[in-house]
Amino acid sequence: MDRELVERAQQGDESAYAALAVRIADRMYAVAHHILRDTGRAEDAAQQAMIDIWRMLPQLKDPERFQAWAYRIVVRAAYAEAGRQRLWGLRLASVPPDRSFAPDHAAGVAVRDQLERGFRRLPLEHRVVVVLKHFAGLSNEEIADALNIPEGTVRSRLHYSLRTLRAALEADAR
Amino acid sequence: MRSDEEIGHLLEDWLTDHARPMPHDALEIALETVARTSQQNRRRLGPGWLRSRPMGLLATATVVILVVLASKLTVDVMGSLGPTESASGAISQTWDPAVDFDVAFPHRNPGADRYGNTGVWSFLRSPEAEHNPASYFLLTDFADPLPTFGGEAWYDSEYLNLLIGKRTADDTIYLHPWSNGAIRKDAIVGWTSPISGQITINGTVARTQHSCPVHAGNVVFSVDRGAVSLEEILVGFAQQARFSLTTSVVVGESVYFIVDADVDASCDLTELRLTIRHG
Repeated sequence: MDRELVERAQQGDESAYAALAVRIADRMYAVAHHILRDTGRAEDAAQQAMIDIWRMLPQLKDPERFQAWAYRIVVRAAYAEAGRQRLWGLRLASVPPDRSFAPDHAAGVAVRDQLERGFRRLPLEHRVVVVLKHFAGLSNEEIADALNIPEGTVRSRLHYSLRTLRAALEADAR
Repeated sequence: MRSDEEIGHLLEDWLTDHARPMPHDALEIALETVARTSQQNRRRLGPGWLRSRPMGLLATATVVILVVLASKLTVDVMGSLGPTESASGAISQTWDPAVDFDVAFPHRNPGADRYGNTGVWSFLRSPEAEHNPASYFLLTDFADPLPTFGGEAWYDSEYLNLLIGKRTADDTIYLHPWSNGAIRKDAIVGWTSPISGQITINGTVARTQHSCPVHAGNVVFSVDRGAVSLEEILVGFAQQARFSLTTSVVVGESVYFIVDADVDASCDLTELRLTIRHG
């Protein structure tokens, strides 16, 4: 991320923040969407995050850490949104895809569906860690910092998540 | 047994494939709010603050967005988050086939929209590759799930893989055309307007069958108003393209989103993310 842009936005330069916002919006939205798995709520969370980032930018001590800091804010917004979330009844397909058909899109689709199912089974806190690690590309230390949790907790959540996803993949493979 | 590293790679691919850009109107609304919001630990600047600047926040954002969107339509490699769609005005009604797919249960074809208008969405096939709405057939077979697809879908049992469907909790409509090399049958989503006026159509069309064993051919994606072509995009294997256009319709007029197999229909499953806005 462009340090100069961040610094200018910190000084209240609205044009710098507009440029910054356009650059980060897609990543912020994608993180919120992965966590919440709901388009409308992801929009709300990403919008709130964009506003909060602007409001709190003067408090950011190290502009080099802008990206991890911004992820922290969008995760916080997603948590808040999830707290308001109603319980949606998921209508899951009762029969798994039959891989003996349609050779042109069988195997990859099956793995993606299995991952989707496994991912949905993860508790919200674990989904957040998985998204920050495997989509945002943050280190365990950065995730711990962003979520204000010990690094050991990050490792254990990742371990649990991978175990759950492996079980989902292998259950469907049997 | 898959290693942690292997699952990690699968996850990265899956999360990247499922990432989508922030809708433009959502970003605009956020920036409008930002323009009225003071930063913490900073003096409040008053209501004239934005107007007094040579270039306000929204104007700057619009310029940035327009530069990014200079080509309006881009084709890029799957997985990258490219430029966003063009700005639209205030929204009074929005249609999204993936959202409306489940509105009517049991499913109907044509189906209703979320506003209670019936006959808005049609799931069709053409008898051949010619774009002639009078000849389009409604798909009459429905399965949940369709085993060949792994989700609920309208399909034609005579033509293997010709389908239009949606997977569980996904906000994407999938279309798969049919071809035997000599004859091609397009998969078509039709939207019949319940309103008269100007509409803005934004969307992404993508080919995401990473599992295909061979480098598959192109599909041709078209947006037609009736039989009039508004947009035509060649989408190669593992590529995606965005489209953004504005047109006017009257009540009962139809816009068609068409996937043509081009040459062969192998690996032609095509994702369509679409919004139609009025107001």
